[in-house]
Amino acid sequence: MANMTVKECCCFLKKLRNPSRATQHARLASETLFSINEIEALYDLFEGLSYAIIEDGRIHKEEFLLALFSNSSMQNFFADRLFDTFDIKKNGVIEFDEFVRSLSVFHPDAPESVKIEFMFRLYDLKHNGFIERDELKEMVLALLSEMNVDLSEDAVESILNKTILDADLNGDGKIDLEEWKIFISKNPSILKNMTLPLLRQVFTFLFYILTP
Amino acid sequence: MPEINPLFGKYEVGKLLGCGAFAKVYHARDITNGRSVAIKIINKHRISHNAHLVSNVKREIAIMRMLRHPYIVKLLEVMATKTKIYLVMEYVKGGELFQKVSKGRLPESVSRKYFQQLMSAIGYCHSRGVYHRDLKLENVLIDENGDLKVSAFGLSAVTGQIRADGLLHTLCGTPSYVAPEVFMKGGYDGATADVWSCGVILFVMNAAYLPFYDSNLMMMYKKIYDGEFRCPRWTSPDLHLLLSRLLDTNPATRITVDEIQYNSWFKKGHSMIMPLDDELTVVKREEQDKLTALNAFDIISFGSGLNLSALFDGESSSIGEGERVVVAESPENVIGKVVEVVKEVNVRVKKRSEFVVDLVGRNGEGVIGIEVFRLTEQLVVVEVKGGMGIYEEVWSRKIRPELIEQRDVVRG
Repeated sequence: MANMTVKECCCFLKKLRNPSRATQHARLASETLFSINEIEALYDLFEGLSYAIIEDGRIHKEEFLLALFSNSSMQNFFADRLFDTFDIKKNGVIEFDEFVRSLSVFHPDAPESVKIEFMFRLYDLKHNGFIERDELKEMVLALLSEMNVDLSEDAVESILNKTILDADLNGDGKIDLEEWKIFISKNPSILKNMTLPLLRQVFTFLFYILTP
Repeated sequence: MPEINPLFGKYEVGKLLGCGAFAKVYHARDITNGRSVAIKIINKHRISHNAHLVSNVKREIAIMRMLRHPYIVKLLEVMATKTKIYLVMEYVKGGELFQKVSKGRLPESVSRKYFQQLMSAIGYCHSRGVYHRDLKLENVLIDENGDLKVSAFGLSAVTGQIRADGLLHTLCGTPSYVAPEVFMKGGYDGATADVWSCGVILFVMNAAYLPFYDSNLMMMYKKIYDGEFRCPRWTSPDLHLLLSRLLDTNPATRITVDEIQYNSWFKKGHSMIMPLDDELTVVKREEQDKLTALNAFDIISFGSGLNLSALFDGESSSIGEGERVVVAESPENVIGKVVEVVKEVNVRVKKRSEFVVDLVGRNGEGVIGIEVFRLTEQLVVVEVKGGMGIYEEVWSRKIRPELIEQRDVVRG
């Protein structure tokens, strides 16, 4: 004990305070696609992210944006959506188990159905079980503004009409989960964002983060 | 010995193959598939005091992960813990070219084969903007099929003298392979310096001794600087000529990788010269030639906030570049312009389908991929992916300005 550095001592005390962490990690390993070693590595990553600004071991919106854009006050519609979807308990922060479970969806080996549902939740802005036309419009406009593209009202409407026509099979003007699944099967490239090949090599990307 | 075995639950670590200032190399077996690998273990504490070294290591590992070539040792996986970095590499069974040469000189036909393979590997890397900077016999391995493998590519910052075999130390740490301009003050070009080192390697394969050597280091520098060497009597005139072009002390007049392709000694029996043509080569005709019209969800998926890889990639993300631009042009015109513009530069166009093309750097595989999508009646989205080497030169400086000037002329 006498030879411990301050930092080691803190780590030691944290472990004493939190004897259930090993149990939590083991449970996550059994319920996600990550091995226990990878969960440990993800924990190191999570610690780095969650103590970046507000040192409470939970990822706040600013910390999430900082990690994605190196800018904690970046305004980005889709990053906000992603944050909200990661925040399963809807308490405004991402906790470790939410972080691991959400990342697991992006694993190359995660079932496609899981990815499809995650993406549906991502785009269902009002959380009412439908992707509605006005939600779709909001997202298209957000992207066009991100890309600095100025489209006429007519052009936007025409893109929306065509997409709704393709996806909305029962003609109620909005897309439900079943219709979404069919739409994805016809347009599989939309799912591309939902897979992060580098998650197969958790230790690889951690190299960049853990190296001083 | 690494403390946990199997390492990361995957690699059974075996005997020590070599060690150096920053790293140790072990033989290991991947227990998931039985494959032999070499694991280089770098101690972070040994390099962490030097920020320059750390950033070099990171950058070079990122580059190494991108290199895929039959004559370059593959980096299979990079892993890390808080104290160590683990580089899992392809294990080359045959041995070192050094050992072969130390038993006696190689016949000219064998030297030629190895040199052709060496140039293929070097050309591939140079076309991606990657230079070895530490080419020597000890970094060239020969696999069990008798093919050459260049090791330590992009790792010059950490190679040091990674040798267990005392015998090899006679060459280690000497400037024998270093081009004269490298130890002169001022900058030097990685490409021409690599060519010099290849010249020394070719000389040693043929002669079984170094072209410039002296037990006195200062004398050795002088010999390299003067560039005077004597070929053994068995050297053919053609080889002699090539060596004098490779070991030209003036980097500006030294033969280049491209020129070597046309050298008569080099060309003999060489079937791997990449033809350089600007014509469209249709690769996969059966792929649909129809232009993809973007639907609303395709458009949304372009959102940068949806790309989580930024969370993990850190600095390596700058290696593979890409962007999407919106252009007021017909899709046919976009592709037409791309083809027109690259006629001026040293790349080939491979057409995957009507609106998907790859721009291939010399000696390389697909480097920049360009795909055109329809956004509206008047606008298309041009998606560019790829990077390294020719991205900046070909896309950013040539094609992009050509396309972008059309922007804002027509609004959809």
